[in-house]
Amino acid sequence: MSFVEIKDVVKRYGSRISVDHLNLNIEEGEVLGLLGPNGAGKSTTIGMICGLIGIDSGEVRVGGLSVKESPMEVKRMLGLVPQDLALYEKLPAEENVMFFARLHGLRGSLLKQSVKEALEFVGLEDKAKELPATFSGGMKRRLNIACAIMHRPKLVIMDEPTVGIDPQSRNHILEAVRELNRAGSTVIYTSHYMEEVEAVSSRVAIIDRGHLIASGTQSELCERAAQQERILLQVTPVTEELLRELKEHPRIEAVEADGDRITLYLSSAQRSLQDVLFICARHEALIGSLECEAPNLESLFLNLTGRTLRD
Amino acid sequence: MRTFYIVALNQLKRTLRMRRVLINMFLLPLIVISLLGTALGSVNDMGGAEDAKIDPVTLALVKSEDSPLLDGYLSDEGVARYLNVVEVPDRQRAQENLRTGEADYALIAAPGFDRAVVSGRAASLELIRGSSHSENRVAENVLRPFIDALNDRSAAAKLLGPQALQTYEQLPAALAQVQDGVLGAEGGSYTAFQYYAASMLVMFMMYSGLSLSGSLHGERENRTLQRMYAMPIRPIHLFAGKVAAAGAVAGLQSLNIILISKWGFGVDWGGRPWMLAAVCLLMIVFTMGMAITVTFLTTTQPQSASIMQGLIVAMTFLSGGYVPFEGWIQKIGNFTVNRWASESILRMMLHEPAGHIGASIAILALISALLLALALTVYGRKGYAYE
Repeated sequence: MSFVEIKDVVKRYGSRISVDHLNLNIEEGEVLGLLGPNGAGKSTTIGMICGLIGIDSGEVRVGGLSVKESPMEVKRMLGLVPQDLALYEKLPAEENVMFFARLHGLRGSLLKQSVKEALEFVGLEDKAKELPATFSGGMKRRLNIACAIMHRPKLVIMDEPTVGIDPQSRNHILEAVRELNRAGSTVIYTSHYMEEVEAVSSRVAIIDRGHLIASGTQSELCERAAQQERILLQVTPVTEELLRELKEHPRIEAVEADGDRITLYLSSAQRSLQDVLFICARHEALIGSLECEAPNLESLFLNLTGRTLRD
Repeated sequence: MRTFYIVALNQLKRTLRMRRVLINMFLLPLIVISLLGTALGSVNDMGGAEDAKIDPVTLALVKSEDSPLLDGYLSDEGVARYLNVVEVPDRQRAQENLRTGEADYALIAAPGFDRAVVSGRAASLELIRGSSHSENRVAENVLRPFIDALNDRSAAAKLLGPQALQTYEQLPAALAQVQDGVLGAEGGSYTAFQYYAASMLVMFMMYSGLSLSGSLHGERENRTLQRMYAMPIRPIHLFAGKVAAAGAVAGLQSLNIILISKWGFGVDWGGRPWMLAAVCLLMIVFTMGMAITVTFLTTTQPQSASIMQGLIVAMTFLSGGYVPFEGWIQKIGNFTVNRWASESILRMMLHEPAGHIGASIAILALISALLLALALTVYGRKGYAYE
C-alpha cells in the first residue's frame, strides 16, 4: 500500500475542471517531484491532500486514512510549506514556530526542544529572537519551512518553497529536503525549477491540465525523453534538395524548417550528427549554429505538453 | 478547546504588542475625553451638563388699582427670588422699559382684575415679552402657576357656577409652585467630562471591532490561515479564539477608560459597577457582531475598515456623542446603539433608579442580541474561508 494514494480524483471550479481523474501513488520515504506549468492543478492537488480543498469525486488517502473521513488524523501527519510566506512578521521567529507547534499539540519540554531543533534545522537558531520583518527573502523562506516541520511530520509538502530567493538559501533548502527525507519523511516537492526537482526527487510526476501525463524515476523519464532527441540547425541556404535528403536519412524521424532554421527529430543525435554535417556540406549549406538537445525532464515536459514549465 | 486558548492568547499578545493599537485604543480615548470635557465644559445646553445659575428677571408691572392677589403672589419668597418687580404707570412706559432694557418682561393687569377673579368673571392679564429668550422663559415659568390657578378658577366658575369658587378660597401658595429643580432623582447631575466619558467609552469600544476585522482579514491575507487549516484544528475554535481575544482587548480598553477617567478627571460613573459592566459586555457583543458581519461581507481589510469607521462615526454623531442634538436628528439617533449605551451610563451617573437604567440596558441588549444573531448567520453561511 502506498503512503499517499490519489484515486481517480476530480475537482471542479464551476464549469472548469482543475483536476481531472487524477491517479497518483507516493511511496513511503520517497521524494516526489511534482511538476507542471501554472494552472496545471498542482496546488489544487496539494490542497486536496492537506484537506484544504474538498474533493468532488474520487479519494485521497494518506497513511491508509481517508482525508475526507479522518481529516484530523491525516493533518497530524502533515507538514505544509505553503507557496506564499505564512508568517507573523511582528512576532519573533521563535514565537512563530512555537505558535504553530502548539497548534500541533506540542507542549512542555518537547515543545521547546522541537522549536529549537526546527530553527537549527533551517539555520536560524541565532535569529530566534528577531522579527521576520527584518529577515531577507531567503531567511523568511527557511522560517516558513521551520514552521511546517517542527512536529516531525511523516509527510512534508513543499509548494514551490524556493520562489524568489538567493542561491545560498536555495541550496540550504534543497539540503533540508534531503535531510528531512533521510530522517524518514515522505516529501512532495513542487517547483517550476526543473534542476531543483532533478536535484532532490527520487521520483517525478508531471501533471498538466489536471491530468497525470508522466511519472517515474528520473532515469525512466529521461530514457523516455531520449527516444526523441532534437538537433537545431541554422544554415544558409535552405534548399529543397537539402531538406529532402535530410528527411530520407533512416535515423531522422521528422524535419521542420522555418526560414534558415531546421529542427531534426531523431532517436539519437550523437549517432547521426556526422551524417547531418556531411549532408549540409554536400549541399554547400553554411552552418551558422548547431545545437544538440540532450534528453532531460524539460524536453520531456515540452514534448508531452507542448509548453515549457514557466509558461 | 486547547486551540481556542492558544489562538486567543497569541492574538492578544500580538494585538497588545502593536504600538498603534495601544495608542488608538488606550491613550486616544483619554485624550479625546480630556479635550472635549475641558473645551465644552462651559456649554450648558448639553441636556445634562451642570445646572445653570438663573439670574432674577426685571418685571415691569402695570396695575391701575391695588391688587392683593398679584401683590401676594409676586411678594412670595419663591417668586421674588426670580422676579424683581418694578411698577410702571402705564402700558406705554412698560414697552419703553422693555426696549431700553430696563425691564425684561412686562405684566399688565386690567382694571378690576381682583374683583373679576373673585366673582368668577373673565379676568384679563396681558404678558409682554422682552428681547431675551431665556429671560422670557424664566418669567413665564415663574408666572405660570399663578395663571394656571386663575384659569382653573375661571373654568370651575363657568362649569359649576359661582358656588364652586368657595373651594378656591385662596390662590395656591406661590412657594409651593416655584421650586428649584435638580437633575436626577437623588440630586446628581453630570458634567461635560461625564457626558463625553460615556459617549467616548461607547465609541472607542466599537473601534475594537476594527481590530477583530483586521485580524480576521489579516490571517487570510498573510496566508497563515491556510497554514492553520492544514493543521489538526477546528475552524470554529480558531474563529472563536480570535473573537475572544478582540473582546478581551475591548474589555481592557473599557476598564482603562473608566478607571483612568475616574482617577484622572474625577468622572463619577455612578455606584452600579455591575450594571456598568453589563453595558460594556453588551457593547462588546454588539461590536464583535458588527465586526464579524462586516468582515464576512467584504473581501479586503481596507473595505471593512472603511465601512466600520463610517458606521462608528455616523452612529456616534447621530446619537449626540460629539454634540447633543434635539429634533429629528435626535429621533434618528434613537436607532443607534450608542444612544442606548450612553443613556444607560448617564442614568447610572445621575443615580437614577435601577428600573430606569434597566430599561435602557434592555434595549441595548435587544440590539446586541439581534446583531449577534445576524453575525452568526453570516458566519454560518460564508464561513471563515482561507481565500
